[in-house]
Amino acid sequence: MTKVDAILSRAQAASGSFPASGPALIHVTWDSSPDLEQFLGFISAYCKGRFSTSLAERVTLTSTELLDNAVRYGSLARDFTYRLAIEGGYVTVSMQNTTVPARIEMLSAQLRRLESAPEQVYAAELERSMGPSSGRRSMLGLARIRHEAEMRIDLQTEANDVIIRAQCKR
Amino acid sequence: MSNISQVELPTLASFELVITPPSSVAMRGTIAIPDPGLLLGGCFRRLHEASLADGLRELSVDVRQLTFVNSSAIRLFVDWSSWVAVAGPQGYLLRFRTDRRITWQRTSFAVLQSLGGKSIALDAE
Amino acid sequence: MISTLPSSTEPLIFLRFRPAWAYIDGVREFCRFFCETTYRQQDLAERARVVLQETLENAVKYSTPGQLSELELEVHADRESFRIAITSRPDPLHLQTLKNELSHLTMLDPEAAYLSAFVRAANEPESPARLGLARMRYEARFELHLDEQADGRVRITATGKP
Repeated sequence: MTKVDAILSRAQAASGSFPASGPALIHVTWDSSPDLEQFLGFISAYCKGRFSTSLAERVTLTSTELLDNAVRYGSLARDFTYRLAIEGGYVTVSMQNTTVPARIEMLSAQLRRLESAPEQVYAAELERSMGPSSGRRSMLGLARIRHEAEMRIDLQTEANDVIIRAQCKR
Repeated sequence: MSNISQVELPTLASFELVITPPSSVAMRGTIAIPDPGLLLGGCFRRLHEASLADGLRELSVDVRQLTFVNSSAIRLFVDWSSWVAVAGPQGYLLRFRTDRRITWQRTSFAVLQSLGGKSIALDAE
Repeated sequence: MISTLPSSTEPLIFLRFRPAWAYIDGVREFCRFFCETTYRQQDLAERARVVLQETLENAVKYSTPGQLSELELEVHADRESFRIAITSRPDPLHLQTLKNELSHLTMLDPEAAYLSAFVRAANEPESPARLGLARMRYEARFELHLDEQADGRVRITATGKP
């Protein structure tokens, strides 16, 4: 069982609030910043062969935003893990890295806002992203996953390990 | 017009074959398709027969820009070497121009040359 | 620079896909690119590319059809070794051929085995090439190991030194 699987299993056992992921379709771990363009090209092609056109677009968009955020904010332990899985009727995309508590809190707060009003938060983040600060871009990514890709988003943490999961019905 | 200049070229997305009469052929790209013999075996055979018909003493095959092949494609060069060996003194010298930095070329053509005897020559650059 | 991640038991790459030829190019090039950018070793990346092509081709060609026939690819790396493993469900006839081939190959050193494979190919023009296994050992410098699993699947592991 990989580290990511172990963290997710413990989270599932503790809360039961998010369907557990099943066996992975894709699981990749980097010990430095991933080169996104090539990997995303692979993900896009894989999804087109695996899923319907609509679902492939949603999964690819989600993957793009999660990976982009992870690379943008880096990882304290230089580890990045991407995971794509199917269990029963659900597709799950997750991204793991290590980060500081302040960032985890920021992500948690954003996810709470997104859950309460996804469309409004998306519109607000879109407007904010037009501003000069690159930090604003990262919150638009989560908003796009929630609103455009229509995925539920979950945050699992253990010490400084953080896993952002996005899930939808297949 | 020479026979070799009239050999029909294969159509393959990742691969290009260029004939420069009277006695040169260049291959570029990659060959990683299932059963390349179906698309390329016939072409290589026609190049061989055209070389015989033209009475060539030597045919130069430049593979320096053929950067990656699967083992089924390597088989095509084995077959070609066998045809030349069978032709014997009535045939031609098959000269491969290779890039020694490309591993498949370095390892495979050295073996072909050791098996092919006097009918195979190798220019490794 | 080989992986500095603490655990060498987890794969760095795990992929699951149908045994369709359409996946081979994309999987091969992604894994090759991963090796090249992660380890900055062009030679290792090229060797891995050969192993990936040959093992994937075999797995795709000889998988039994059906829902249970998904392929699994794993790439593991640590300072001592670089391993590529493909798990598939081959048809029984091919499995026996594969076992015989591997047994024969490992009796010879890689260069002799490759030469032997070329001689066989030259003498049997109508038969399949069967150069791939010998090529992995000689050109890519990977050794091969076959494991039969309880569920009927077979795992081929190619191991090389970085």
